[in-house]
Amino acid sequence: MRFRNPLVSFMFWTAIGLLYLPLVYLVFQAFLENPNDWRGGFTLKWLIKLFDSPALWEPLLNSVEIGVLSATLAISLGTLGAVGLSNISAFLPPVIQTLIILPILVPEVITGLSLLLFFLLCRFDLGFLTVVVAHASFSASFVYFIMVEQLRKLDPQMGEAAQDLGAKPSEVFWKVTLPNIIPGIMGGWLLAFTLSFDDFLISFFTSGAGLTTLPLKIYSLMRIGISPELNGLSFVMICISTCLVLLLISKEQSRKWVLKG
Amino acid sequence: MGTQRIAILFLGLALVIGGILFLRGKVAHTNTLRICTWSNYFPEESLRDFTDKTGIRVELTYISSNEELFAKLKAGATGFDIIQPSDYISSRLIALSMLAPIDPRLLPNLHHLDPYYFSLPYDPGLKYTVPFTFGTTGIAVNTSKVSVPEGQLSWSFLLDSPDAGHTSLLDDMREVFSAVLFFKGLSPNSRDLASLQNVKSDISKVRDRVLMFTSEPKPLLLKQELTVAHIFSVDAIQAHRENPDIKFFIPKEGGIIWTDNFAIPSTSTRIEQAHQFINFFLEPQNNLTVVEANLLATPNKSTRQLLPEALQKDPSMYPSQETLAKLKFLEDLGDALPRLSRMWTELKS
Amino acid sequence: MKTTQYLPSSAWAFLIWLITMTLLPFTIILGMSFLERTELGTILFSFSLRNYQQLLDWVYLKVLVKTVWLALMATLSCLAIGFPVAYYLARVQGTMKSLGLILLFIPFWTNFILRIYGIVSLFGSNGILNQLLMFLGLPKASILYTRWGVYFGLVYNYLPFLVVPIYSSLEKLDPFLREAAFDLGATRFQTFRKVILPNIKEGLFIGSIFVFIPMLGEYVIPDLLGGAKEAFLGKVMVEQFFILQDWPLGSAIATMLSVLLLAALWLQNRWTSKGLAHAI
Repeated sequence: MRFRNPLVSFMFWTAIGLLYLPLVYLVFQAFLENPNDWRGGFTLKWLIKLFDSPALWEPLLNSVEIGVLSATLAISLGTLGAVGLSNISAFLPPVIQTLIILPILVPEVITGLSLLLFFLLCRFDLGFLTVVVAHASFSASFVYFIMVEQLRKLDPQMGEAAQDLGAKPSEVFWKVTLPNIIPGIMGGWLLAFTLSFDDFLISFFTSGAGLTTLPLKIYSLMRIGISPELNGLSFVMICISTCLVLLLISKEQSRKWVLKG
Repeated sequence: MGTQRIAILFLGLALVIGGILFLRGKVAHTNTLRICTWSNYFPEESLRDFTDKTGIRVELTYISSNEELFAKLKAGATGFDIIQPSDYISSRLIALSMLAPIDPRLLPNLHHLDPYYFSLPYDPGLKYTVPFTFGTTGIAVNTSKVSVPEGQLSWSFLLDSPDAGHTSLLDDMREVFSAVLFFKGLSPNSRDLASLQNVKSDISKVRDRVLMFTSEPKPLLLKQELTVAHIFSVDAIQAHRENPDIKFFIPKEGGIIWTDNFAIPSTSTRIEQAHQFINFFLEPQNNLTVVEANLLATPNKSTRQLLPEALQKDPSMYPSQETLAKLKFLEDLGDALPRLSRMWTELKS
Repeated sequence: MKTTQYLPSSAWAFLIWLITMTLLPFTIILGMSFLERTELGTILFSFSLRNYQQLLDWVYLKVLVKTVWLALMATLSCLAIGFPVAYYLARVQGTMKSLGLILLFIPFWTNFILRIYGIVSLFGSNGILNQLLMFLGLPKASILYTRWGVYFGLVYNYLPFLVVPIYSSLEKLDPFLREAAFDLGATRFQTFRKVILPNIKEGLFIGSIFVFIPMLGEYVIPDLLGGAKEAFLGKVMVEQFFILQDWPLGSAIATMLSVLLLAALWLQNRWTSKGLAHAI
């Protein structure tokens, strides 16, 4: 079906254009000899410089490690919750529903501060572990909603049929339910990873001695001095996010979750 | 039904926790000093020297403000072996007994410090802190864009800037209030509510004129977003190095002097290694590496003699005796602080 | 609360996680908001309502009103821009739909701080916008470090949070409804008002909450794009924690924001037939 309302499509493309303006500018800047003046000609040196700045590799590695661990934690918890609650999710008392949705809705600043106080009062050393746990604390709820939807699509008769044929409940889970929700698990994991990889504010509050994640590093580069590597880095990060979106969007069920970051 | 699910639960969690512990195992080093410092204070080669000579590894955490450091410590953040609080936070940490005493016997290089620094108001006799660098707060001007009048600059050059659309104030209430208090010939540590109230209404007029408040004006000065900035001397000197047109002035009415110190939190478990670190960087040659890399002003008189003539005599780094006499340390305001902070919020609301 | 008795054990793992990692930290904030601060900035363990009294001070009320106003304006702008975007995405088919979705997603999966950095570079006094204006012989636009900078930053960053719920409720809409309305002689406007709008109002409402509440607590955008010249709630709250060492007062502000959020959720529950989780 062709879209017929030219006004709406004009507004759509204008909005998209405006959204891309800052990003296109960043990419453009990454190739400028002099980042503050476009007349200076083009160069690849900032991108090359990026590859031998250890100051950027370490935060990158931290971010990846934190992302992998927190996504794994979130996917375990979120899936467990969804497996237990998907049948009755519509009848849950409002208190529990609110509790599940809260981590998604609360302003990040409050999540960050409350977790900070929580960790400090528990005498946890701020650092790697606290950031992992903090990230999982909000991404688990995202994963939960993806998995509930995934499970709801599952034909309940499949499980029943398996049981009728003599399968034990554990076998039903491992051999019937799990293989069918694998795509959801992968999509959810990727989502949780990206949420963690992108997060700035919660890491800002919960990271302590000796830990810098990539977004924290970008923030300090941006505030503390002029660093043309930052422009090279922006280009690389924009490429990464493009790849992640393409990966996620190929998974239908996680599509609408893509934006919640 | 239930037991299988519990089994799955534990399996999942065990995997996750196992993974975490495995990854953490490779990061935790036993002989590592954890240092909480300001960004870019220690160049990598100086730390490598330290590790080579002592076998002690170093892990750095950066803070962007004293308050951030204090918040971390207050809430019981352990794990730091050396922190670098500024003077006014040092005095608070001392009052709260959060610092381990400095043992002068472990610091044979202490005598390199200028005697002036043994009698600072917040820690006379250096019982808990060792000054690492000091600086002042003043005005940076891009002289190619804004012409500077002859003679000494006044705070009015900032407060009534000729290029207000490209002027910034520090996003720090004590510093901003001090600038106006100095201008009016009052003490920056004034607790008198009536005069503070007056100062507040002056600041609100300045606020409407200037471009912004920021604690890191350096990149903006270099990008020429700013031409006049309320700035810490360290940042101004670094900006000057990249663009010689940017010059730093201590106004004639006087200004704030501050120190960043070495201190050891009382929770540190590596007190001896921490002293080793401090002592290492009191040694003039090692101190010089750090000082030269970032053009810091050093309280170390032996290091200062090793510096090029031009630097030794640079008044923006080492103010003259006459200027030094007009500089003041910020003191804790006690019960006047909440009132000041309310005024600060009022100003911005 | 009967249903809780029948919750399977795996659900409990998730719920216990939520209770420790979400509810407990909130309880700490709530508790902290009734304590007092000492002169040296440490915490005094005695019950007091002083912080809430302080919040009633006109200064904080003014900050609150200003923050709510800005967030409201930004939310409405997001609605105005977000609706056509979602409408287009819901109605267009085939390649254009996938392309449109991909194009919409990429900016928002790019690191938040980088997006802000892009805006700063774009709007700066030597940024491309001003170079262009200068080239055209027009006066420089000073958007950065003003309230407008904050406003643009908010709209830019929160737009997709609004597009998604509207898009999904439009998707759920039966296309025949619209055609039936046309067949019965309704005009475009009538169809929109009587058929489409009532069916998607839930999506609009939820989207607005998704955007409005986090905007109230926004901390980074006002700091980086607003030049810290004005105090917004998020910044005032963080300042209490980190600069003024008044954790109890900061906690009281956080509690107030959370209460606002819960009130919005409650309203949503009252007004709409299904639960929030259902509508997403």
